[in-house]
Amino acid sequence: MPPPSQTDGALCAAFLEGDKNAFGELMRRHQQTVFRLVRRYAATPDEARDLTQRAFLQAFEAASRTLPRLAAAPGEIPFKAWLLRIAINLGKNQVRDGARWARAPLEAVEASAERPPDAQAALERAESEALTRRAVTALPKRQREVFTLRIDGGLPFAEIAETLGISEGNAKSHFHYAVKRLRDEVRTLSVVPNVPKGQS
Amino acid sequence: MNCEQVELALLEPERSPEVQAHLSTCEACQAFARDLGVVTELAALPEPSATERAALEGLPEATWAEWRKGQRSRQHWLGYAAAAGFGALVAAAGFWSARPVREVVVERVVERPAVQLASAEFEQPNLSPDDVFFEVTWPDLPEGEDP
Repeated sequence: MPPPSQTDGALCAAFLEGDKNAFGELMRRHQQTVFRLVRRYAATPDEARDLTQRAFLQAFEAASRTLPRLAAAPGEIPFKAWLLRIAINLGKNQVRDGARWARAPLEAVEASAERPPDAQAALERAESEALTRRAVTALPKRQREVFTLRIDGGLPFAEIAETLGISEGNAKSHFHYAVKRLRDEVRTLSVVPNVPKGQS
Repeated sequence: MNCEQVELALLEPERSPEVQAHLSTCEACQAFARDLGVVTELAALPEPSATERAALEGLPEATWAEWRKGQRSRQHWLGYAAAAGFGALVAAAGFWSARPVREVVVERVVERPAVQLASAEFEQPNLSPDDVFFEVTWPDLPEGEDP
């Protein structure tokens, strides 16, 4: 079992030299985050699992192509950044190819254990959630990436910036725009009283 | 702090006393803070269900198997590609060695008798060396004209 202090890059290099334990450790470290990112775009848990697996395989593939080049110019493989970017892209492609996004949030809502006691309020709440989640998948690329890495992945802005190769201030700015855009969408489409129309 | 700076600061979980002070007096920033909470709550997905958590069990092992399968398949393809490349090389070499070679004219020239070749150099063999050269003189100009 590799020591937990080992960096992702070191684990990745060890795995590419045939260390199966390094592979397992990398997966255990990141599979929850990747799964949380892709489940927004998946219709079923199995689909989310499949997307998670594909994200890992593609990241390992990218690492195996890059490793020989790093021998010439030493550096660390930015494995997590690749993995998360691949996961987001796979998720978006899933939506584009299958147009399945409409089902995913509703199923997720059904699976949710927390429900307001009032049926009408619950219905309105579910509608607003579905609208907002749909609006998230329709955000401009960079805003969507930053927003989902923050909300679904739970990453701090510094790590989001590192993942996407932008500055931390830029990441915050994209998130800020995304929130304002979503707020406007919700105001236009929703009947939720929490976001009243005409208020700044 | 202006409103935009406060709005950006509100994106972080901690709120500094400066942000709190601004927030207590600015209605626009209060509204943004409220909207931020509502939007992020509506957009967030619920925690993974038991079914979803179960789907992740055994994923590292399954992914490892998939990776190995992909590697083996790639090695097979590389083997086929190498064999095909070698075959193409052998075929090209075969074609090259079996190609028809044209008879070269040089052979006929070499076969000619040496005398024939020597006589072929002079069209008028009877000319003496003196006949070959001739004098070059300037033409006579009419008087009074400069060249």
